[in-house]
Amino acid sequence: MNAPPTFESFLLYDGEKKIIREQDTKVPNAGIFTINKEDHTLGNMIRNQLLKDPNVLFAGYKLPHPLEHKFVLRIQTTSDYSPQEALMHAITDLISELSLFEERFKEAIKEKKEGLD
Amino acid sequence: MMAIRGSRIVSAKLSGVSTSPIIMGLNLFGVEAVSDFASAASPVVVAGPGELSRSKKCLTLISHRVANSIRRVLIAETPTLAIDWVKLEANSTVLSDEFLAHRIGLIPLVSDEVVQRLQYPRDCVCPDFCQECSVEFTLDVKCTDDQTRHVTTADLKSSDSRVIPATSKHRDDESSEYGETDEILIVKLRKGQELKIRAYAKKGFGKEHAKWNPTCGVAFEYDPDNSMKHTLYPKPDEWPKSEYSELDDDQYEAPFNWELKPNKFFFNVEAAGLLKPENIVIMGVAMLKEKLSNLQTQLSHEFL
Ligand SMILES: [Zn+2]
Repeated sequence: MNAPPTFESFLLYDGEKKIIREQDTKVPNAGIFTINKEDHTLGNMIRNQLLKDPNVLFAGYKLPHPLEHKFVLRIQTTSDYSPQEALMHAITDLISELSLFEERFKEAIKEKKEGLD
Repeated sequence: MMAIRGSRIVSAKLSGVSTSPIIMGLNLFGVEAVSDFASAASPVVVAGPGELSRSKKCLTLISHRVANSIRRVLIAETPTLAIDWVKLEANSTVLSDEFLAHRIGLIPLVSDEVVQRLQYPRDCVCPDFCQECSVEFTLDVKCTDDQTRHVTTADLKSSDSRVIPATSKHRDDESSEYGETDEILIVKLRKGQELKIRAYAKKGFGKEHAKWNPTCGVAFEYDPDNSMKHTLYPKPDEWPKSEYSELDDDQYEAPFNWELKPNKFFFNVEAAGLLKPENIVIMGVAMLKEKLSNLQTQLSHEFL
């Protein structure tokens, strides 16, 4: 009756933005990104990748509420680097990590199938 | 509803280029262990159950968090097909319309070949359903005998021979890939009762409804002998050893090594019949990449 629509957890509403950025005014070079309709799947992975970056001073994420489908990512960087750049690099690195995995996985599947014939 | 089990088992061991080792085992039901993958040169090895127990040198391809994201995405965001719209043209059975619609929705449909070509109905240009976004199913059964008539997935007729109930797969298939399966019982009819439906299967994923989840069990483990002590066993000898353990029979736990980091992941992917296990991984990882690149595109549009 009053159940939220089942697509609520992954479809952006009209006019809703995927990603919103706020400046953290308390410390220099810090940004707070709100990513809509995403959860731990991306949040944890990106946070972890950011922590591998030596120019990132702080990276953390949270899901503010279990019924709100978004996560909040806070990034603080060194002065010659911006949070956006850090996020951009983290995502690029994750994509290449997954591409490598994908490629190797396909090779292995092929090898396995050939071995069976 | 009968549980659908019995896809097959593929296990994978991954090793790679960058730093240290990873193993990925995709374990599905059915296939016997075949060969020794430990010596294989390729970094990712797909193997049957039990084949990965003594793995040799391989390198880390993915990190712990990425492994977990892959697990999450395989369960919740790998697209498959499931019946999502049912029209009951005649129903004089003992079950109500919505009860039947629910049961029919839960039937696993083989989606391997079709799902990537199909559109999500909400993205399609057609008003209701078309070839681009759905697969039509019909069922028309009437019981005229004194005996009880079982309506099963065998009575469900698909408009696309590639998209059929997973339990019907063995009928025309020479490969026993999906193993021995019974047809799923939908409802029983007594004399004079009738069931006639028209239904459409749509593309979706597990986040929307569990019927689109292609897996029945996905898990990964690392550090089978607990040498990193990420967990503490009060009495290690009371716990069953991992199937990937490298310890001798008289040992129950490896000594603590503070230098170790998770670098070998043993994945177990059990399929529900909608997709083959290897396809779950391939499509799931592709989906994860797509999510990341969408985010990246949005990010560069907004701020750079
Ligand atoms: Zn359409």
